[in-house]
Amino acid sequence: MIDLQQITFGWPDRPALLEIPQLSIEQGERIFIHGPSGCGKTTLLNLIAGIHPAPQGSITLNGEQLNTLSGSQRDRFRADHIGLIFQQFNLLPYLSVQANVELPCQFSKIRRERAEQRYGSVAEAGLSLLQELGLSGLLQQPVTDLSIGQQQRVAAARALIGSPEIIIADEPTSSLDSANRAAFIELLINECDQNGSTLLFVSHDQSLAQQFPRQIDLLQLNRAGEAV
Amino acid sequence: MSLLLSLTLKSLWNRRLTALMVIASIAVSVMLLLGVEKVRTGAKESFSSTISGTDLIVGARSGSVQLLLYSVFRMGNATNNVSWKSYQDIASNRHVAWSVPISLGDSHRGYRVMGTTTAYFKHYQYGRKRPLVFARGQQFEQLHDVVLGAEVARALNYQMGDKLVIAHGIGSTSFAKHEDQPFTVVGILAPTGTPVDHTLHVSLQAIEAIHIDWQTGTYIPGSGGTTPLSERELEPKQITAFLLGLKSRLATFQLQRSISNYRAEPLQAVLPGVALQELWSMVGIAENALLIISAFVVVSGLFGMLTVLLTGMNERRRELAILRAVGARPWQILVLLVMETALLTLAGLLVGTAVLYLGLLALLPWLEQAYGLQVALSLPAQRELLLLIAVFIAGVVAGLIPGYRAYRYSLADGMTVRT
Repeated sequence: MIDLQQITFGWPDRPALLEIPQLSIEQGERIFIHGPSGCGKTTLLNLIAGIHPAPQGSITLNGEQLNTLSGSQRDRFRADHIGLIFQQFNLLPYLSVQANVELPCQFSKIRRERAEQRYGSVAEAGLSLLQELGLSGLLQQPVTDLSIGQQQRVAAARALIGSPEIIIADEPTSSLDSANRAAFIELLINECDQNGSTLLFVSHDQSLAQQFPRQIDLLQLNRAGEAV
Repeated sequence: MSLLLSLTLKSLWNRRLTALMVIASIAVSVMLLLGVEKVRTGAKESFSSTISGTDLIVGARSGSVQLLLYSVFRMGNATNNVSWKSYQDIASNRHVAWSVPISLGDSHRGYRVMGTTTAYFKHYQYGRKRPLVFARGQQFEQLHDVVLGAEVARALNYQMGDKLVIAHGIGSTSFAKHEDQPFTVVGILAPTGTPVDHTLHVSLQAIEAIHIDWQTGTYIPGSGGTTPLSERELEPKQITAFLLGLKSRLATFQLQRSISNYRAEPLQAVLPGVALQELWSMVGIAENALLIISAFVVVSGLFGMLTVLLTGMNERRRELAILRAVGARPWQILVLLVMETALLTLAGLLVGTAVLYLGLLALLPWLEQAYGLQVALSLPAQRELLLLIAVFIAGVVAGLIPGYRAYRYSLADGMTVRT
């Protein structure tokens, strides 16, 4: 479902940052990608999310070959099929919790339709996601009043709404304490299971690895720099 | 699009203090621009409507602007006078419908005294052919009657029936006064916003009468003889200038030429409109300077907005990256930013215009009283609308700069949220 073949990526006139001969991820898999800072984790995510086009090799998501799509087609594909969670400051401070969660459905017709199909309405979809994440009491709250742990859960709900096939989480727990961290990952995995979404969880924190059935060490996967 | 609009509004509301400052700075510049434009057109309007309905102004030969200045604006002095004989001769020309002689040279506490005939109240017109109107009383009938301009009566607090003494010459503290012949206020004119407001009107005979005992600028009692005033024939020997109304405007140039070629003495006749234009073109430089300055104020206001937006840009990178991550495309980010500046500029325009109109509404009576400035409180004229539209477009174009930066950021930052 995610298939990378012979990927090379680097900035012009610089040695390649990333060189991945082959990576396959099945639909619904939960992957933990780890590696030290600077090993190309973010670059890999940017490639998978279609932010940067891959100059060589092929990236196939859901049978759609990303590197043949134009910039705006990749944008649309990302909006429709990928949910993103960042390290922190995931939310727009001027929207309520509910509005933040519903935002992807405003930009993607596919996700809006899926949310409506499954829950009847976008509002209902957001509501039940927030409920499952234990945030039902905070719907109309300004997001600035939320704790960081709560904010990250809202971000998870937003990534999950409209059931995108792929959830990409880029160090989402690094600003949480360890108790919150484990709880957050458990919630996230549960929700991905229910949605049938593939989860790519990136972190430099090796201790989180045990919660994931499959782990990828990017340092081993990435061949860039080895030949030099 | 409504999604982007609502996001823009909410984002602006979140930064309402800076947004308000930006709106205020644009509003102030717009206010200044429109205000200058209003005052400019108002000044031009009031200026060129100082006299109307008069076809020719005739005086001793000097310059047309000078003649206009002393005969209409009561500024400066005539270099020479016009003899009564020439006046009567020209006034009886077959093309002339009416004539108003005027005689200047005396004053009352800094205000000019003008000797004329009652034809003045009938024929003098200003603005869009508005005649003079009496606020109180009527025109002079007795020898020692005086009709005051509105401003004279207001500033010196004269009432009907008050007595006043005319000074010889035009200084505000003249010591030579015609104290032997006090005048009685019989009429006060309604305000016109023209130099008429600053004038005291008496009859030509009165001017003659008060100068009887004066020989070459000095008062020598008895030197004028002992005949009582009532038995004298007070016919003036000379006047300062006169206004002519013609039966047909077609005759204007013909008469003008024949007056210029008048044999008995050197005279000139000017068309008030042409002379006013000439005078205004000299003032016009200041007028353009004003407009240029206010244009610069608008530019600086827009630069202010640009500075605020660009400074805020770094803080908003996060916000824009989040929007990108939830599916906003780069062009939508661009629209978001341009919409923001468009809204800020529009708000600034509306606030500035509204405040200006309210201010004018409050200040208008005072402006008219103090400066004779008639500013029409009409809807923005076409030129003003064009100015406003130009400011709006400039605002939107200015918005393209942060918009483009945001667009670049959102491409380069991708989903990495820079903190």
